[in-house]
Amino acid sequence: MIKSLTLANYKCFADDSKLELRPITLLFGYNNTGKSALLRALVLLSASLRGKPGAPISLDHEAARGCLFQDLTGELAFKTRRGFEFCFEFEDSVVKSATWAINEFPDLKKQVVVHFGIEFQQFSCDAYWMPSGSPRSDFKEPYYVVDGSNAHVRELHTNADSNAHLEFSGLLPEGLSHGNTPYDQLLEVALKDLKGLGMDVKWLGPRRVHGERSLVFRGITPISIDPDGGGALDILATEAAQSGGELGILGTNVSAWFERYLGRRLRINWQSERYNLVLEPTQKTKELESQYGVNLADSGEGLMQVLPLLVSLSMLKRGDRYDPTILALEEPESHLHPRLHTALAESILETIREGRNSKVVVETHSEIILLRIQRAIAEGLDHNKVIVYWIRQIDSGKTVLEPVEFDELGRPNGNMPPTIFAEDSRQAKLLLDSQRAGLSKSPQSNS
Amino acid sequence: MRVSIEDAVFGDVNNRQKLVQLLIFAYEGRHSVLTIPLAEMTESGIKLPNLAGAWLESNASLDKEAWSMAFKWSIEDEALAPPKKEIQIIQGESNWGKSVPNLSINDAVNVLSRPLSILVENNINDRNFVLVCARNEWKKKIIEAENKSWLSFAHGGGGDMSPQIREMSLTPLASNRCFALFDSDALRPGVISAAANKKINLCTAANIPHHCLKRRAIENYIPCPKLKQWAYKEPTRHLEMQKRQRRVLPFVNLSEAQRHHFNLKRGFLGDARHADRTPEVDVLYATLATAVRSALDEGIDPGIAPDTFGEGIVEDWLISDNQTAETNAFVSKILEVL
Repeated sequence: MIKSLTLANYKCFADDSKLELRPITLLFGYNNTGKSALLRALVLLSASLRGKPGAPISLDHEAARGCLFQDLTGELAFKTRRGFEFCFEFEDSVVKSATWAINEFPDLKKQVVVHFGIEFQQFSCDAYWMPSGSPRSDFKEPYYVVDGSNAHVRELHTNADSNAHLEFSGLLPEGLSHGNTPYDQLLEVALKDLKGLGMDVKWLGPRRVHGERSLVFRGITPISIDPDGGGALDILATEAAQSGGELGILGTNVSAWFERYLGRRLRINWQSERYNLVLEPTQKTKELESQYGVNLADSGEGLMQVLPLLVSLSMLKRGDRYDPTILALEEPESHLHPRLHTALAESILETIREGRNSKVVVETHSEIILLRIQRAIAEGLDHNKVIVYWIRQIDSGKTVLEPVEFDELGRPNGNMPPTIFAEDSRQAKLLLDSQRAGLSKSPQSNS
Repeated sequence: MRVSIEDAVFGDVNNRQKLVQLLIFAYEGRHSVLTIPLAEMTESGIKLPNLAGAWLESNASLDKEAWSMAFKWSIEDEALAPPKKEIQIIQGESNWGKSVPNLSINDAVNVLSRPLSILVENNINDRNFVLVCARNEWKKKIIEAENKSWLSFAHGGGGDMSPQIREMSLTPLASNRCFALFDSDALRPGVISAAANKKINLCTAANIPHHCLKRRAIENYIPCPKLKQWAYKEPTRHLEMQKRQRRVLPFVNLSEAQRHHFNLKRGFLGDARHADRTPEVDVLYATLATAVRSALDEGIDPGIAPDTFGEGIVEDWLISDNQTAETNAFVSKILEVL
């Protein structure tokens, strides 16, 4: 599983910026400081581990938001460095860490992995792309591989006709191992492992689609939920179809959340080949049964928006073969009343407490989510399972990540600015000050 | 500062004026105020314990609202900005000796009316240094506190502020409203001078919150780009600029440990007869070329701190200089005891 991601020269992250992933990682900051860029970097770069030949970064991934390579590189730095570097650290893997430096040749829109490094417990291996002079137009230049096991240097060509060649498919090299030694075998295992880790992260973006009133059941189960929440209903329907038409484990989990916090439960309603989700009161009279059920599409926007989040969290907890191990959530509290922020935080906590080894990374503006998690620490959750990053821009426009950790009582260390959530208090005070000033001018007394 | 008030204090009509004074401070954000037992947050708002609740009800409506807000904000502050210093107000005689001082309301008002005194060696240069170190949110808070006379930088008598620390430690009233910030005068990493150790011991004995700089002095926190800027800033003063450049350029090429412990005000000559100079200190600079050593013999400039800790130091430089972990910690410590 991914343990950390370090970026350098990537968008606003000019200097080495390390994001450590704990079971619960919260990203806070004012608008336009780089929170989303950071979350999406995790998604985009991990997805690129499963990329295709031709380009190291999967710029067609939703997390790239249609950007060009040069958009990923800080504007000032791009003029001189033409690229960025990043490093993943891993846990529970044969690989300790893997590092990349990627440059673009802008005239040809060609990106090249100029350095790939992989580190194991006992040795490492580094491949450097080193054209002699200007690169050839086909970029078929040699890589020099510094083989950490016996510290010799091999030259590998990016020419598939050669016996010793090195090509990249997405972020991962093919042809790096060159022999049948235990070292080469370990390299092969490691690269397969890295490719698998590319499936680790699933992302739910900030704007989720509004569900349709009813959907056609096609029997095709999506293996994951789309970044816009699409597919969540299909997953519940397929599971229900396999459970005799009633909601299955995931659906029941989601329904339990609605029951607990809203006094409503979910039911799947089949109409021939179509289906929809109905929200109905937990306590209802038999006479009024039909009048109480409401198509989920007609319920409040917040409930439709939260549904994919709840399904994703349930999948994280379930831990089936294709379920994610890391869930990246962007502003999950959108459209929810503050009271349901607490409910959302409780779902995250429940997932972490009861689920397998999994992680949730949340980009949020919700103080309530933070407070609920602090309370969980004060009530016994291991404080080392939580880390907050305060993300801010400094005068030069660079973004810095400031980790905030907690003691056993949920008290933060000093990196959290004291006034970040004080706006409501500030406005309330200004209102009261104005009222007090107004009253002192009026003939009526302050009573 | 966290001010926790025993419920019985609200039951004594003689305390009304002092309670109002405390709640005005809390409403203005000067300190936080909690009740003992702690108030409850209910659907209809904050619910104070019996006597405090009755006292609150006896106030005029807008005052009642203001004091309710002060109690509510204080509870919220406990989550994200918990104060590190606390006093408890009791109905009875003061006991300063407890780990959390138990004070009568009169003594409490006396303590809380007093500005937090930041004892520094030079109240202008060190104030500027603290403000340079403080991130924007914290800088605003410090300046606001200064403007409202909740905080002041006090001149600690130049090189040795021990007498001032000793004076502050004489009365609990003063020691509870004091924070000391001083140089380590360390000639090499990790070896604090005897004078700095004495200040640490005095502060610890009197329970005065303090910070001893890890580097030698505030001058050692001037980032290199700022020094270069200073060395080139007045092209019309050609000779003076040349002199500055002759000293600054070798200095910025020193190792981190050398830069952190070099005497910027007086140089190697200034340290020639320093009592703390040991062979280990000489080892720190043993590899320097003769030309570098002689360029740095007289330091950079005795007035380098006032010249540079004004405007124009950007945070990027401080981060690159790896000083923010230390400086952020002591700035937040100051605000936690405010």
